[in-house]
Amino acid sequence: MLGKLIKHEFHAVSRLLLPLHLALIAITFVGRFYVQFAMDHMDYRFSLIHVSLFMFYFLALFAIFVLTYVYLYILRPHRNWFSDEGYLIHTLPVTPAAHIWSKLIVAMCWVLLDSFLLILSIFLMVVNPQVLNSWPEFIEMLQEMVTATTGMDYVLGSVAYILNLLITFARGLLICYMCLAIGHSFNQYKLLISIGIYIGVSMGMSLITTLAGILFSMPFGGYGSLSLFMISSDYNTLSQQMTWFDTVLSLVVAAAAFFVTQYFLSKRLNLE
Amino acid sequence: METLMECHQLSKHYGTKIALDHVDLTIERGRIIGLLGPNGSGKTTLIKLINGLLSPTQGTLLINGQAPGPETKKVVSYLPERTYFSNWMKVTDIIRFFGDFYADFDDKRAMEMLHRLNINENSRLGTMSKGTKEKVQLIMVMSRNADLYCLDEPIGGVDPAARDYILQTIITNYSENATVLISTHLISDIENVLDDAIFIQSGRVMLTGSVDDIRMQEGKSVDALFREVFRC
Repeated sequence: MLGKLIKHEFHAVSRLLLPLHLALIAITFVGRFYVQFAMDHMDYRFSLIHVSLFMFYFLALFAIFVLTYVYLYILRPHRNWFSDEGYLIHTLPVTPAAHIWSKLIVAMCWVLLDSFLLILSIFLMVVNPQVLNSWPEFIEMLQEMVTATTGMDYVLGSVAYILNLLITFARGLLICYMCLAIGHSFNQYKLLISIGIYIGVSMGMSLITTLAGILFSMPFGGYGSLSLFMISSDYNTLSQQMTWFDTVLSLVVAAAAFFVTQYFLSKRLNLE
Repeated sequence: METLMECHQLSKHYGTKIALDHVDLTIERGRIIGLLGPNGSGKTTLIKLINGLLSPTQGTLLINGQAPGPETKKVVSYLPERTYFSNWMKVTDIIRFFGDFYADFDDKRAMEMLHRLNINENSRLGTMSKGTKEKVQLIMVMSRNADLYCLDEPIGGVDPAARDYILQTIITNYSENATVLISTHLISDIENVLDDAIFIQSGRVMLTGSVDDIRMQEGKSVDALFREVFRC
């Protein structure tokens, strides 16, 4: 049944997101050819048009990014589970866990595809021989950045970074599902309560992360003195601890959000 | 007769409002039952509880001995009082959807009924009138070989000609092992097809019994009795 749910979920979600991302690809190609043309025929009389078109490109990019996220994180689960469509979805002979997994898997695929296409789009817009020549330097910089933020060597750090990214995406989606499921178990102010719970959960997570930062930095002289007095090896150890802590915390929060959503969909569903 | 569904002391509260109040009810197989009551009497709440769209505040509800869940949803076919298909869906999409999820869905029966009502299977829901959407929904629900059909106001939004066809569809498409529970105010239209009636008011069951017994004991039609019991 999960496979069938995923198939229908992909079909429904792609109806909006596929044309949106095809438009992104089209805008990128048109933009790229325009950039090439503008560079080949430098004419400062048209600089205002160039700037306006660049503005349009970045606005379109931003709009696609925001729309994709708002749709996948809020609109889709809300409409499919808690509006009229819920009368069909929740009478299917499927477990609440399968409903959550299908939404999560499809949303994750689209979030990753969206991120990939956005990065690719920006790359294609700015790429030129100079950028390609400085590619090895860029990779080196990226490796240093990964090592600095994770406190691990490049390969292990990259794995940790990707793992952290995937779990963070899943956590964000599951927290949204949980907030919607709890909010819609009430008889009134369902969306308002959902938003309130989301704010509460976000604040709680920030607090835990900050407290963990303070706790982990104690052996190295405290939170405030980190950047000033820490030696490199200490900083790496702390970064490593914080990376793994953040990954484990995200995993725990994601799992908790999954089970809470499952509970509310099976025991506290309230489609009035 | 074999029991299909039973509720014991079933209650549902919405905040301080009591929608169902300690309902004890048994529904047997092979019956067409009218769930009759004025607006806000608890009919829809009871049907939603059967389908697991609401959770009881108190009491139990069992279908084939099981609480509402994936197993009971395999044998309950539900027609809500609202349209639940997305407007972008074609009728063929809906047939595929039902075929994928319900093992008891008979797509040939669905196509036959669609053609009888002159509904093009390649039309999108968004292009249809409210009445046609309701017909499509009813056809999908009645094309299942379910144990229990829960029809919430199935004839409210369609014209009288379609109403006759729909009632005929209901009668001819359920097996003797299945039960149809129909919630409606339009009693005179369905009285002739009912085996049993359940009168519900303010969340309480006022009367249950076979339509023939009610007619014999009260000396009037179910419709006349309904007007008397629920007089405003």
